[in-house]
Amino acid sequence: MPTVPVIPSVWPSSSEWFFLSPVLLMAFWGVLVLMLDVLVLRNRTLLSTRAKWLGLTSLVGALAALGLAVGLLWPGVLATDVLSANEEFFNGTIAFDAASALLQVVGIGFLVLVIGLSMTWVFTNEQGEYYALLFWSAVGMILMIEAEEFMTLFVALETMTISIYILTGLETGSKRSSEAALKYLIYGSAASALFLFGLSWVYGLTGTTRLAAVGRALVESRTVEGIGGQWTSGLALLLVLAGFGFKVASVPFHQWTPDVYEGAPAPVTAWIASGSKFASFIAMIKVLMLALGTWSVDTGHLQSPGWVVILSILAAVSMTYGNLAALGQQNFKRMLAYSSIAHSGYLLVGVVAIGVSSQRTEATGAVLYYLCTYGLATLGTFAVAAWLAHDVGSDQIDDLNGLGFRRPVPAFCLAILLLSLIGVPPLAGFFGKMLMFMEALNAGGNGGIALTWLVVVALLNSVVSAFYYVRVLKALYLRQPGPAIGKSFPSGVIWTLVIAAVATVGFGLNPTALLDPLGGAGISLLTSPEPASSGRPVDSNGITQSATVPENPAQTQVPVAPAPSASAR
Amino acid sequence: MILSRYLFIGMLLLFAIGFAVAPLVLIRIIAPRRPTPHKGQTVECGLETQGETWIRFRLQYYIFALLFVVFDVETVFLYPWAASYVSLGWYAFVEMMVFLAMLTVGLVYAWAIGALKWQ
Amino acid sequence: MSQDVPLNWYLIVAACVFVIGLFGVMTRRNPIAVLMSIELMLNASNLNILAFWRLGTPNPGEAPLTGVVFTALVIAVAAAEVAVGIALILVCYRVWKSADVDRYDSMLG
Repeated sequence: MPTVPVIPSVWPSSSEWFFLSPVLLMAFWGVLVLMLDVLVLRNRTLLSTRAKWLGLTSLVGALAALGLAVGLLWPGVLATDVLSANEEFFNGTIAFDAASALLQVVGIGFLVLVIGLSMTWVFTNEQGEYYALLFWSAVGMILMIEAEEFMTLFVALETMTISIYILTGLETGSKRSSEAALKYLIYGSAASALFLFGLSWVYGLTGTTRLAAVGRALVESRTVEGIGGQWTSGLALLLVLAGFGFKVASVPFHQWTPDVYEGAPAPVTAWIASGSKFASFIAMIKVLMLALGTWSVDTGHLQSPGWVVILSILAAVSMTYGNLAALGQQNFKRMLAYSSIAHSGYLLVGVVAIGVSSQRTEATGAVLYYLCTYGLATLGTFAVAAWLAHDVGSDQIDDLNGLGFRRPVPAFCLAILLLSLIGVPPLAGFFGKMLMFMEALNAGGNGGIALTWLVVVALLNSVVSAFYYVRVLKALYLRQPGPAIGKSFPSGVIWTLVIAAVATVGFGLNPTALLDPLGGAGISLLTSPEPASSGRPVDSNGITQSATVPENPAQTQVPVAPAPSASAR
Repeated sequence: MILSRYLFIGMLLLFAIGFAVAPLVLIRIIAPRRPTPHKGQTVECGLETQGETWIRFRLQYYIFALLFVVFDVETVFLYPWAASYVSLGWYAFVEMMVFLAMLTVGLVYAWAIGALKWQ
Repeated sequence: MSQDVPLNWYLIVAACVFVIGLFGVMTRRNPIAVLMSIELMLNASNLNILAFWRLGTPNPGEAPLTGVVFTALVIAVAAAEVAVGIALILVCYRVWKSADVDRYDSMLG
């Protein structure tokens, strides 16, 4: 029986709080915006004035958070401090290393663009709540990226998703918006419950919730077998994968995607497709690599294939289903939703590549590169979808007819983004796909698991995807302009489109500009934090893990000895 | 024997069920049954019943209930803090005050949008 | 300790509760019932975590209260989820005048 514990009084130091400053600022700014709305502006000003002021306040807050995040990247700020990449930072619940520092900049960058896009239209009466929830979902997102521990991960994930459930339903007077929100909530919380049940099993099998410690326990097969039989590891793995599969909209858990993407207000859809997916994939990579790395292949106690095989199958099915379903869509948002499922498939190929590649950090860099550029491209395309929905009042691809003649600049930007989504060189989407697929092939060449079939499926799918993206391009440039095209583009949309297109072309022509820092982030993302050296009673099991990327279990098969059973107690 | 400590609970369970079922069975066996419409009426503390049983509750009620549930559950964090208040010291006190401030913001919000007003 | 209920029993109960919840999520049409089923699933996880914390083998060096803290956080998260869920159900009920997820079908899929 656990005795009444003495709580170690290890409180976060001020420098630890300083590293969290962008997150703290955003959390506070959410409160500020909300209070500004309900206590000052609401019932006193017109909706449009209120929306303008709240939007501007939010934009200022998001830019300030972005500034802080960039400031933390400044040479010297992070490096001088010993806190990075060890288990002492917030008692090992949050990692603040190169990866967190860089990826939070990307996440907050997405937030800035989404806020800019939201300011363009007034689609909800609940302006204060809208911006506050955007901030809070961003807080959840960034904590999820930084989480090093299951509890933190779960709470951060729920903070993000619950905020997004409400955001989805906020569009005033839209039946579809509330329906989408309820569907999202029901699917989402069921998936969270599956995920949590999986986590509870992982916790039970290893006796810890820290990712790195779980990883170590599994490597040494210090799992508690005999509880509930042999199949529990495999079950736990499947449940965790189901939770992540939902968040990233991969196939067996994708049913919510088209409805939510269609029903949610378009800026929120952009946020779900870019930010939420970004954070979920990074958390997935961290959990799978740091904690469940041993389970990437079946080492004898999984009673199921390891996650490499499971995710390969999910990837292949997601790509194929997403692309085939997108072919038949006339609705622009739904087409993008199915294409988002397909892109989750491509990204899963990347995740599998991290699991099997002989160059894990390069593979991680490739996935992060793809996530960043895909997020930007998605934001741009959903900006156009938002313009269609709010200014033209339609969702149909046909309403884009002839846009290339009437509005050359936005149409050109959209064309670039779509070409990048297909994967046409020299755009960023091409390099992202190429790098990920190369890493997937890399593993086959080194005697690991051959992923050639998966890469072939992915390439075939890229060809299929060209058909529906080209249909939009055809509408833009080859069709006669329709009546709806007279609508002008608001500056928020133009800005988003131009930023996305410039980034897509720029990072496509010079991929190393983004790849190098992201590769560096990949190193620290995959590095298990070292056990605390001295002073703090955190994790003193005596196993010194050097600060290098752990060995690849797919290539060096770890022999698994039967663990002592729990009944010994 | 694992079960021995739970034997008492099992016996209590059986006894409780028996205690509830026995009078029903006894009445069935002993009492005469002569139902009249007057006897079949719903008894509400001796008063005449008013309206249907399946009335609709006002939406307002649910909003109150929701607010209650959220604030109620957040106190789950207050108990462990209060239990080890002395050993935790100032840092935890400040953190808990921040937490309570956040809850207060929630309450202020609910009050400001008029959710607390019974219309 | 040997006098206690063994760990496996808790795990079996938790698994049963979880499966009941999962079954409810998949078969019930009333969104409130679905929420209740989800709550069952979350509480099954709580039961698991607490049983593992109390009777399982902790990792060397693990903080002493992991399981309890985890459960407290899950309870809070579950309450937030249910509050949002019921609010959204009320919104949908106002729009459709019906509490049946199959009727909420303004979109294709």
